[in-house]
Amino acid sequence: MVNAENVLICIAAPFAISFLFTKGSSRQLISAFLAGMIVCIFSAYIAGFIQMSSGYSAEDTAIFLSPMIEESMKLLLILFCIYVYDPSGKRIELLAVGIGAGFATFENCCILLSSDTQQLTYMLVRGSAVGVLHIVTLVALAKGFQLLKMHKAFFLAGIAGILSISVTIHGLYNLLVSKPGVSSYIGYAMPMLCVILLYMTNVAKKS
Amino acid sequence: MGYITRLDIISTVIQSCILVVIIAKTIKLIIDAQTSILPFFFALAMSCYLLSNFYWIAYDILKPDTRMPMACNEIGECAMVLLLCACLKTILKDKKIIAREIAFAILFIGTNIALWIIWTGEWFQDILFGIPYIYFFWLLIRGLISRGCLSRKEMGVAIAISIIVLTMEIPLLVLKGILFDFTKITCFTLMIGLTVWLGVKSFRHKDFFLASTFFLWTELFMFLSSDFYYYLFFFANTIALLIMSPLVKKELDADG
Repeated sequence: MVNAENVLICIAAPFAISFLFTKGSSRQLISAFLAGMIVCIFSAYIAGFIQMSSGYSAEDTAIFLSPMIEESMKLLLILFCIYVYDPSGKRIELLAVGIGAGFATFENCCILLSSDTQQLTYMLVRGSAVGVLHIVTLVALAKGFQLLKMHKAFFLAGIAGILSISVTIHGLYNLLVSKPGVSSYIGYAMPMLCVILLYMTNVAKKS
Repeated sequence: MGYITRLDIISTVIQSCILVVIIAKTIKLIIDAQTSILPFFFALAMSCYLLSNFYWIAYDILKPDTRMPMACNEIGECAMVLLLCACLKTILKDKKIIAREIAFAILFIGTNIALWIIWTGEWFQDILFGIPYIYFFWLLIRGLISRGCLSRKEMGVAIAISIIVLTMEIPLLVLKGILFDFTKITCFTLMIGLTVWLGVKSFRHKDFFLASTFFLWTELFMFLSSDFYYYLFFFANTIALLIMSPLVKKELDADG
């Protein structure tokens, strides 16, 4: 059992202090990182509540419901930033990376504290798979929003489309790693493949 | 792994391959016609459908012969319907709001949703993910009427058959024995007949609204069926996708 709130306070305090000494995009990145951690804890609360009220088992909640809750929460945060601050395309990506990194860091911290940390292989897989996945889905969301803005299609249907892509990728990962064997290897490799794909899209766009 | 699960995997894989081709062709259209949002929405809708299919395949392989609970693919399918609505809205010229059309769309899809709830008991997801179908159906009614794709007589017959099918599904819940078999056979004969007729019509007329109606009907009939019949309508659904895809270009050309 981990007191997630205490962990959050412990990690967030140094970041909060660093606000005093940073400006511009560095400060925005730190804010996004902190917001990502807060969104992570709220998602866990909501998932816990839904698990209790729906009668799903803990495993089923993690596989089927968590991706929907987590991605929707991240989407709401990004939408809030977009509607309130109207950031440019590059800034949306910066915010997305910050939120994703904050979310993944906090989730990993809680996992590390609640389970065995002896196995380096497991930790490496955990860090480079699920940790990366949160960044991948958020960068995909940000890129999707840029496309929607470019095509002047920033309304419900477009947003739902982009959300569904990130939710399904996340859900597919959770489903694949839920069973040991070949499927879990595919699942663990998926976030890294997505990173490579997104990076190549970035490079192709620049050239 | 049971034969139904195997059939499910095979048919979903085939549909996924077709979806990949459709997406690739639509992306080419997006590049060619950069200002139009129709191909963009269509490609996004098909991508959502494709990812949903991937989820189905993974689920069938990892948890064979079990019923999938509310999962991520439902959001993908809901988004696909919303995106197809957005496609239809961009090409719909006559956006008149007529109360009886809206009422009919609500009643018709509402009855479908009620039947889904009776069968599965999953009221929350059936209502939540069923609502976009009402909007989709209303847009189709508006488009079919304003474009005159179907004559009043044809439309009346199609609506009458659909209502008969829905009405016959209710006694199927309680009937047993020979009466059940007879009702079921009659019901599926009507459903298959209507699907074939809509398919032929949409192939001949080459209209996006008619093809979308064919697509919606295959979806609704899929949800009303089980086992072999489900895959029959799934196959028709794949054909509907194949008919819809080239019509996006036609709509773009017509728009200038």
